[in-house]
Amino acid sequence: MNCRTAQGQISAYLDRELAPNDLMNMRAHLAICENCQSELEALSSLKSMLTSISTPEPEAGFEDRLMRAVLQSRVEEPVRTPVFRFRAQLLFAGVAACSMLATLGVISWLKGRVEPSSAPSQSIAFEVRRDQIYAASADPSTGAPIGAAFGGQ
Amino acid sequence: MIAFGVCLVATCLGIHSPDSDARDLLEKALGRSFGVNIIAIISQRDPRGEDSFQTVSVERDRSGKTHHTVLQPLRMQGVESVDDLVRFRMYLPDKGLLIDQDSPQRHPCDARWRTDLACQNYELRILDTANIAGRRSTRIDAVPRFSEIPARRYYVDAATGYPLRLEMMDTDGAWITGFDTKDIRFPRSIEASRFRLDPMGDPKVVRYENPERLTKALAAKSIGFDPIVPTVLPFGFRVQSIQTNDGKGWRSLAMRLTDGLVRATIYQWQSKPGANDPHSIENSSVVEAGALKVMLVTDLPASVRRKILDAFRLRSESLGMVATRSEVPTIGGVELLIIQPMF
Repeated sequence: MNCRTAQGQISAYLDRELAPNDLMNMRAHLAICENCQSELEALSSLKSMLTSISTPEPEAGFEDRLMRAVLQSRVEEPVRTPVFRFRAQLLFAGVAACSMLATLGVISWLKGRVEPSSAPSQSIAFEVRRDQIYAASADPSTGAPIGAAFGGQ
Repeated sequence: MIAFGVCLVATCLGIHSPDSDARDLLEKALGRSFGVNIIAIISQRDPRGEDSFQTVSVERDRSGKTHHTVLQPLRMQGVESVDDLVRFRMYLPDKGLLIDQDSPQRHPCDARWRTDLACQNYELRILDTANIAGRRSTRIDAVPRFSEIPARRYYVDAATGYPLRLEMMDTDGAWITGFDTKDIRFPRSIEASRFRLDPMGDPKVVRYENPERLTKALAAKSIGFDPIVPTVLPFGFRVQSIQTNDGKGWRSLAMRLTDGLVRATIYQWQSKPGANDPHSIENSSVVEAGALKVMLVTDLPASVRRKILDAFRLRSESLGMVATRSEVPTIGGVELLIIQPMF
């Protein structure tokens, strides 16, 4: 493991989210790398500081002032004549129909293509865990696979 | 002559050899139906390692319907799954998510096929008995024929064939517990409502397409690329089935492998150059094979995972391959295609 990989995984290491192999590699690397050790200590103390900060409370009367400001900002709708309303509805329907056709066209074009996956690695991890539970769920000889389900992610 | 006579007498009297008993008991344990209703509490090794365990409540009726609920640890408390033989639903309360898909039990049970394969790759022996959660269990030792594969011990309820404990040998030669039954009962009936999932609130429901078992050609059509299927896999592994994974934003192929006892999944997908490998997936290794990423997920040691992945990488380096329909193996009546060189 190099420093770049290690520093990318330090947060997961602190949260005990690393897989056993990664955990062993990380420990081995931290044992020999002072830079990553200090990075770990810095991140650890930052996390401690963040958890110790209390949540600020709003001042007294904040909610009343906010609601007053919201109510004052409301603007009355202008009076519309029936003809104006009909034209507006027609225009709206036309625009909606065009945009729907365009969307359908784009969707059908996209369905015909197979793009390389750009799914983020967390998304892939989710899908893999879901699939692993699915695959193991019909096999009682391995216990209860549900235990692998997404905890702490 | 004497041996033949003994065998003849044993056959006539219906006496089985210990190996034959081990085989029969293993096949029962790998099956899905045990002819009884079961309510149990089990302790299951956390796949994240560090010797931590999860406590899971298991309800299983005699038809094979299941309801699992995680009781501990706190971060997973209340995660539930229900398989009513038609749908498999999993509820993740902290995420407000309900995953809904076809029951895997709609596919044919392959316990016999797996047991036959296990007999090729392991020596099965019944050596001992043990008392687990008040039940008399028989210990089946599975000694692998390949030295790099860890040995396994299954403790199976002597009366019903239900697996009560699994132990595996780790790389240091010590036995580690995969799961262990802490309490078990066999009630006459289980209320039918236990196999309905009633999530709290209004969770987001995510449905998945039915993960059908496919031929290679159909899988290729479905996911848009030719999957890599090695003709031979190391350690006696065989392809169990090929399915597509139609997760949003991640179209991939899921190839189930097994050596009879160990379950492994190969995922293959097209990845953008330079895209990060998925991280934090327990017991996984990834290689790049041409334009594809190939990931193996299994609880085998990393050195074994690498060797299995090498078979896929080497296969991808072969050029000019086409799918042929000669010697098409089947499983449960479903064809599996094997890639063979064009010349």
